[in-house]
Amino acid sequence: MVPRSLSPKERKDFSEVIMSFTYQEALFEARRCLYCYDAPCIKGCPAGVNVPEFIARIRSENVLGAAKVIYAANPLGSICGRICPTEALCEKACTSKLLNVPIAIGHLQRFACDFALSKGKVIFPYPKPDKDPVAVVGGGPAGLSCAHFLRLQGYDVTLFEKEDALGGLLLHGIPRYRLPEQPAKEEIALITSGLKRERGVLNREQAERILSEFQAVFLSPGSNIPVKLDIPGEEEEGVISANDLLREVAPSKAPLPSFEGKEVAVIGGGASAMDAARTSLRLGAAKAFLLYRRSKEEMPAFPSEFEGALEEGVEFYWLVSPVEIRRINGRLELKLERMKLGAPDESGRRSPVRTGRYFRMEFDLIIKAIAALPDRESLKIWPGLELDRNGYPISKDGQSTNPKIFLGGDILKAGTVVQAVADGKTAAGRIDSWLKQGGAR
Amino acid sequence: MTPDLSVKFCGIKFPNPYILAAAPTTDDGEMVARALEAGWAGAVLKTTSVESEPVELVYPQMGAIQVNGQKLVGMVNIDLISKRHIDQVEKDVRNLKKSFPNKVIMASIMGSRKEHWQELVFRLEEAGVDMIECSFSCPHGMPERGMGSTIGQNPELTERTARWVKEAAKRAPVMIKLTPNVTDIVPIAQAVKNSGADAVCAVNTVLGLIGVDINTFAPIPTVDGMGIYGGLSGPAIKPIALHFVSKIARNVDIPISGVGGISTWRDAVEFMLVGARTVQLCTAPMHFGFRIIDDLIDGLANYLEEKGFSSVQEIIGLALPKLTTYEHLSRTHKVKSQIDLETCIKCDLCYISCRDGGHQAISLKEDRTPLVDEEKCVGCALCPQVCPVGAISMKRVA
Ligand SMILES: Cc1cc2nc3c(=O)[nH]c(=O)nc-3n(C[C@H](O)[C@H](O)[C@H](O)COP(=O)(O)OP(=O)(O)OC[C@H]3O[C@@H](n4cnc5c(N)ncnc54)[C@H](O)[C@@H]3O)c2cc1C
Ligand SMILES: Cc1cc2nc3c(=O)[nH]c(=O)nc-3n(C[C@H](O)[C@H](O)[C@H](O)COP(=O)(O)O)c2cc1C
Ligand code: SF4
Ligand code: SF4
Ligand code: SF4
Repeated sequence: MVPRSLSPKERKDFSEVIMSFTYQEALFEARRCLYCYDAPCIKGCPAGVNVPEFIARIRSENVLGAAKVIYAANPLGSICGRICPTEALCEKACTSKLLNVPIAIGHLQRFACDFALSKGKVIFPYPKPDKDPVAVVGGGPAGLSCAHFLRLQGYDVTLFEKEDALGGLLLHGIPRYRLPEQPAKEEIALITSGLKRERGVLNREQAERILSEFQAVFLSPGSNIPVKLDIPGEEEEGVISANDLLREVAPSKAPLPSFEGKEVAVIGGGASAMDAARTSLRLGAAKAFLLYRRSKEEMPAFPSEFEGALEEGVEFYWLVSPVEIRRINGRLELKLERMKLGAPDESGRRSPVRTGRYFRMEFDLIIKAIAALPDRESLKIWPGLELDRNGYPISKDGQSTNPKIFLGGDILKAGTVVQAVADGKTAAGRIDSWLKQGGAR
Repeated sequence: MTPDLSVKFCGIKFPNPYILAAAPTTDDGEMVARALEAGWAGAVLKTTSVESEPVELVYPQMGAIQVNGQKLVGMVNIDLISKRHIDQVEKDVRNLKKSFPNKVIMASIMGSRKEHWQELVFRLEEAGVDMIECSFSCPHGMPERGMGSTIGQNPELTERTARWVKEAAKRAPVMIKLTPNVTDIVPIAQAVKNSGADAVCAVNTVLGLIGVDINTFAPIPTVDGMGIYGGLSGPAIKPIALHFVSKIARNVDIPISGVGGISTWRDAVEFMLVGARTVQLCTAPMHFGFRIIDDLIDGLANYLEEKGFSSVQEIIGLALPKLTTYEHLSRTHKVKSQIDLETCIKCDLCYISCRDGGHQAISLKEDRTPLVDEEKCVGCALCPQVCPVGAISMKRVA
């Protein structure tokens, strides 16, 4: 069973699309769970949430107890209940799928966490720090999770984050219609209360100071530098990045740009592309097209994101690749090359192959959303940190080439919030055992 | 050929075995008319009494247990006999008999004295009732006044009271409704037989406390903060009722109308297999309405046809010869759990139940496929009970 959602016609603003389960709906859905032994859903969850246990507690109407189970494994339970691509994680593994449809684990998780939050019953008992000082750099889900689990074990954590607000892409990436500011801010506030933090962008000197003052560093700056299209005309006015657009519309009280009457092209096939297209329609765009160089099957976006875009009227063009942008009569003319599918590439997906056949389309705005890579410049400040050709730090089991520096989140290729949370948790455990074995001493 | 669903019970022909039990569903002539219209063979009008008998009801009257969302698995009521005395019930009987000459109109009665019991019988026969049922079985409210289950728990009182009624009844057969709140039902049923009454109806509700409100600490249902033990009905009491019906059928030669927890045609078939000639339903029609009669009839007919029976009467008592006692059960019979891996969805509930409630006979392969170790499996048959998809059967090995 799925909860009610806004009909596509009602999705004119940034109101949350999918509603919460009501108490009765949650009970109804929880009763379908088989309570599998050694349940596959637990293994499908990167954070290892004990799904059958929390659902059994909803079933017995011990909803606070259910939230306790979730928060023990994932301190961003309500957030993840909303935006986890559950169809590719826990629900993909759910045994009930073989009976009829998988249990709506994400929606149940959201229900239990929101219930506990509304009662003010989510409290994390951080002890007084009596262990080594550890630095966390980057306050997105990965960094927040690592800081949380380290603090629970008594580590003396300091968080370095360049922005004022904590949360990373939770606050300036994922749009409000999928993740409202509440509960994002509420959960973030809960796990950062009493957390020592420093603001600003770090330089080499500071990095060295951090390495000498702290026994270990968890580095989680995300991977947020938009990849360029690398075609003529990319710098024309009206060509923007999804990154910038999503960041602009992110705060709930932000003055919104108007795309009234505009025809918008979004180039890409991932989460950013879907959200940029759906955001464009909410800003008044007459049409939003999504142009992707492979076919539907190879799109990195998760099915739920694709379906959301489809429902809202985004039009899809598969197997097209941008070649050139020209400004003509105040509009943007995009030259596209038709592609076909070739052999699978290193990602395992079939690769786009050029055909030499071209065509042109006109738009008012073009949004680039092809990929994002790490910020090399900000990584170079760390002594001993070796990067691969794309700018990702080379690592083994989450530990970089500088053994004091541990990694997690998108900088380690996470791609989802829950994986970032899991990375942070795993790193906290690794840092703990590494330090117990003597660390860098 | 469509099987014949009609049954002969105490010389009366019922178009099918399904009767509405004495309950709120039969507390009003208009309601009963709708039920008979819908296809029910007959109805026992809710237990009535003489005009001088005080009947003071309290509200609320119902409480229920739900199991994992399944409502009304068991229901407790603290209702009493009808507020409508014999003067009104007489009228109902007359009207119903006029409108439904081929349906069976029964009336349930309860009295505190011989004269009352007999007056009720005279007036009902006068009104044209087909059969009289006597409630010796209401477990709450009435026993305190020496009525209801006080009678049905005592063979002497049962025989004496049944005799009064039988004496008075010139034409209509007399059926005594028994209470399950006894350790042994056989002497009670035998007492009915000895009295000369024609049949027994088994069983009425089971004394129970359906629950306690964990916020107010009050028993459920709660009447102004207080509660009492009530009468449990519905699916939860079916095993108890089946036990009593079969027990009577094996020990006393008397026609039985089976009641207690029947909600589907399958339940009805089971009651008839252990000796009931007709069946009565109360909680199921209270829950879903009279319309359930359509499937009750159709399911029964299809079952009989599939099994090659031409009349429903052929199945009455067929299970009885197979009921025995522990010492007669075979010691050499051996079964082992067998899992159909095509059907299995790998929930591993069989594994955990055998591990923690059985004999550690099921292990899991790497991919969570359950595997039975026939050496360790004692054949207790716990695992097939927990399998959500029916993938487990018990295979005979000796
Ligand atoms: C548009 C969009 C939609 C998405 N939708 C989903 C979704 O529905 N579900 C899902 O699970 N995932 C989604 N994701 C992915 C998810 O947001 C990321 O995987 C996740 O946020 C990664 O967490 P992180 O902590 O590694 O990085 P980030 O969230 O990027 O956080 C990094 C933090 O580090 C800070 N930082 C960076 N450099 C420095 C520095 N030098 N010094 C100090 N601080 C620094 C940043 O300011 C930021 O706060 C989406 C991503 C995008 C872009
Ligand atoms: C609310 C309620 C009132 C009842 N009233 C009577 C009654 O007046 N006389 C009687 O003989 N049985 C009465 N019964 C008992 C039913 O006739 C029946 O024996 C019992 O409910 C078990 O059958 P079931 O499981 O199909 O409900 C009543 C039952 C209920 C639930
Ligand atoms: S796999 Fe599905 S059915 Fe089994 S415990 Fe997990 S959520 Fe419940
Ligand atoms: S029949 Fe009993 S002992 Fe055998 S596998 Fe099943 S639960 Fe275990
Ligand atoms: S209980 Fe049934 S479905 Fe579940 S693992 Fe055992 S055999 Fe398979």
